[in-house]
Order: sequence, then structure tokens, then C-alpha cells
Amino acid sequence: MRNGDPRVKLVWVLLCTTGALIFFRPWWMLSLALFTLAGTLAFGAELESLLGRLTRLLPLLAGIFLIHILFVQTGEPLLLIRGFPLVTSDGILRGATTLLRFFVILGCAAVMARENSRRVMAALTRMGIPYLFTFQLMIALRFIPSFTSSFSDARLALQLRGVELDKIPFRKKLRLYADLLLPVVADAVVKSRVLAIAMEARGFGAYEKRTSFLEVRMTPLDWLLTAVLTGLGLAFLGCYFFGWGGL
Amino acid sequence: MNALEGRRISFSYPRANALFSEVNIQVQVGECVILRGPSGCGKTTLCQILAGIIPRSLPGEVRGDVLLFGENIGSLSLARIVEKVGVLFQDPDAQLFFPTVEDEIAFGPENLCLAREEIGCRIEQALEAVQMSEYRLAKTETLSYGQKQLIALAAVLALEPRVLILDEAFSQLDTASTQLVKEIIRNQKRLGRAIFLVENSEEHLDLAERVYELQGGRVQEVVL
Repeated sequence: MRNGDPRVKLVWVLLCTTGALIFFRPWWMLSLALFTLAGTLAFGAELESLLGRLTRLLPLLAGIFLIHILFVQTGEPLLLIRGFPLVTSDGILRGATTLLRFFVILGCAAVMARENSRRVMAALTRMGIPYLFTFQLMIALRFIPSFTSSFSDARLALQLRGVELDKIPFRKKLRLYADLLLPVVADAVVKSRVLAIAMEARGFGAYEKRTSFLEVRMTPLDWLLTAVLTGLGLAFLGCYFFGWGGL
Repeated sequence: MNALEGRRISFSYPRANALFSEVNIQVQVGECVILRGPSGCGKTTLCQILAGIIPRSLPGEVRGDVLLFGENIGSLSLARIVEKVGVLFQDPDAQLFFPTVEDEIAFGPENLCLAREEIGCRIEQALEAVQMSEYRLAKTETLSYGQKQLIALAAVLALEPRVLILDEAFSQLDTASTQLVKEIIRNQKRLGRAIFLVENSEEHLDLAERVYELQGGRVQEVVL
């Protein structure tokens, strides 16, 4: 499954992310998270990288969990302060559901991050998506690390000029970052223009279609997996919305 | 026979004075022509005009004609231009955007809708030409700046253009790579390709049949 066709992974990602968006019942979300974990392992995503991402997001996740606990007042009160229900069962369940939702999305990202972007593009093109769109998507994704790196370069340049960012008050630091943002965005615009010219100089967009040196082919196992995943997806939706099977 | 010809070319950016005017340049089949001049004089802009990038993709007012094997470049489709002219830009980082070297070199031939087998042959030949066959599956981000420049050149060679426009192709190359690129240029000349090279270093004048100098908005041929 690790080296299977990217289309199988795309179907799996579609299934998981759709579930993450529409499931609000905690046990459903827990099942989805377990299903995502199984897929993440089966598709060979790097668990270390997934855990690393989760660790980096820990303060944000903890904050979100806390907000849910404090602001959801329904359910059974678990902690009362002068008669005010500070922590309720619903608050904890909703907080946990949101955290699981993040896990599902990060799991999907980890699987797709391991996949070669060229294979994904070839797969999308085979699915009938116009190549101009798939390239736009790939290049937009490519610009995210480039943008981050430009911003960190600009930050470093400031520090090399003697600005001690750690010692600057928060509001002043925010203003400074806002000032840095403009040249970084301008640099990104210039880079994207140069890239567009370089691509066109190599014939990009010359014809409505283009050939692909990289071939992606669905094996019988890939077809089987796609059929199973699609069936599972439809069954889950039926159970969730129409209560099929008494769920 | 003139492969590439610029006739009385004048150029100005929108709402700006003319960068250069009445420029006449000819590059014949199997010939290498060097263009030199101070920084900011418009060498890269002239390359972009000769490659048809200005005014098709970049703004600016261009007067005069650019002829590619006798045909006005303005009347040619992008596909026909790319089949005839290959351009190597200054900064390889701006040109390489695929994860691996193989993908990068395949990109141009794929755009020209070549068959898979043909693309495979072209990748092999282009990598052999720049002596980087062992890097075929390497990630482009792990390459040095000089290696990226060679891969960018290979990507242009894979298009098998009849005219090569090389904008400062030797910048950032070490001695061995510089010699290699010079050898590639000589080979391309032997194959009957026309080469337009932007280069300021005196070391590479031995490649050229003719040298033009762009200065003060005018171009004149330098007697070697």
C-alpha cells in the first residue's frame, strides 16, 4: 500500500477529511481518528513527523481544548465553582472531538507529504483534472516553505543588524513583523513571476494537453482498495445521517 | 543563414525612458555571439525580447522586429517558439521547481507533447551532456548552485532548440563546470545550433564568432 497509486491515497484523504468536517459525535470522531491512524500506518507515513507536528501544535491544541471546556455549559457538570459549572461532560467531549479532528487532518497531511508531488499531479491529471490546475496547486504548495524561508531570512537580517527581537515588547514586535511582511510578499511575487516566465520558456501552456514521463497505473489491488474505501465512505455517511444499522 | 535576428529593436518599460534603441543583432546557424555590457544596461531584457518573452509575458514597449529563421516571432505560437529557442536564465533557483532532476528535465518535452520513450531518451542525453547522469533521481534541493545551473542547462537542452540564449551561463560555476559548459557550447555549434551568450568575462571570448557591446542604450559590434 505504501507505493500504491496516489489515487487510492486521495480517496482515503477525501474520506477522512469529509468525515472530519461532518462528524460531530465524539465516538464517531474517535472511530475516524483510529481509521486515520490505521491508514497513516498502512500508507507508510512517518509517524515521527506526525508526532512532531502534533507536538509543535500542542500549545494551540491545549488552548482550543481549554476554550471548549470553559465555554460549553451543557451536559453534566464535573466541576462547580460557587454553583457555576466550570467543566462539563459536553465541554470535555467537544474539546476531545476537536482535537481528534486535528489529528485526522494532520494524519492525512502526513500521508500526502510522503507522496511524490509529481505522482500526485500525474494521478490528478489521470482523474481528468486540467493540468493547469494541478500545477497551480503544486506551485502554490511549493511557495509555502519558500515564503517561510524568506520571512526567516528577513528576520535574521534584522537580528544581524543588532535588533534583539527577544527583548522587544510584544506590540512593537508585531509592528516590526508587519513591516517585514511587505518586502517578503513583494519578493514572493517577484519569484512567482520569474518562475512563470521560466515555465513558459519551456513550453508550459503551449498545448491544451501534455504528456507525462511519469506513469501512474492502478493495480487490481488499488482498484479493490478504492472500491472498499468508497463503499466504507458511503456506508459511514448512511449510518451517520440516516441511522442505518441502528447507529 | 540567420537563425536569430533583431532588427532596429527599441525598448522601454511602461512610463519610463527607452532602455535601448535601434539595436541590430544577428546570430547565424552554427555561430556563437556574445553580448556584453555593464550591469543594468538591458542585456537580460534584450534576451527576453529575442526569446519572445517580452512583450508576450512581460510588459514593455518593443519596437522593431525579431526574426526566428526568417519568421517574425510575434506571429509564432508558443509551441513553435519553444521548439526553436531555448533560454537559460541567470538564477537556477528560479527555474527549478520539481522535486527531482528527472522531473525537471522531463518538464519541457512533456509540454511539447513528446512520446514517453522520446522524453526518456532526451533526459538521458541531456544529463550525459552536462555529465550529471548519476544525479538523475537526485532531489534538486540537495544540489549545489553550480549543479543546479547545469541541470537548468540540461532542461533547456532536452528541448533540442535550434537557438540557445544563455544569460550569464557561467556565473557561479567552478572551473571544471565552466570548461564543461564551454565544451557543450562548442558541441552545440558543431550541431548547427545558434548561440546567443550574455557574458562579460574576457575568458570566454574564444567561444564567439562575434561580440556585441550594449552600452548607453546602443549596441555595437566589437572588433576582436
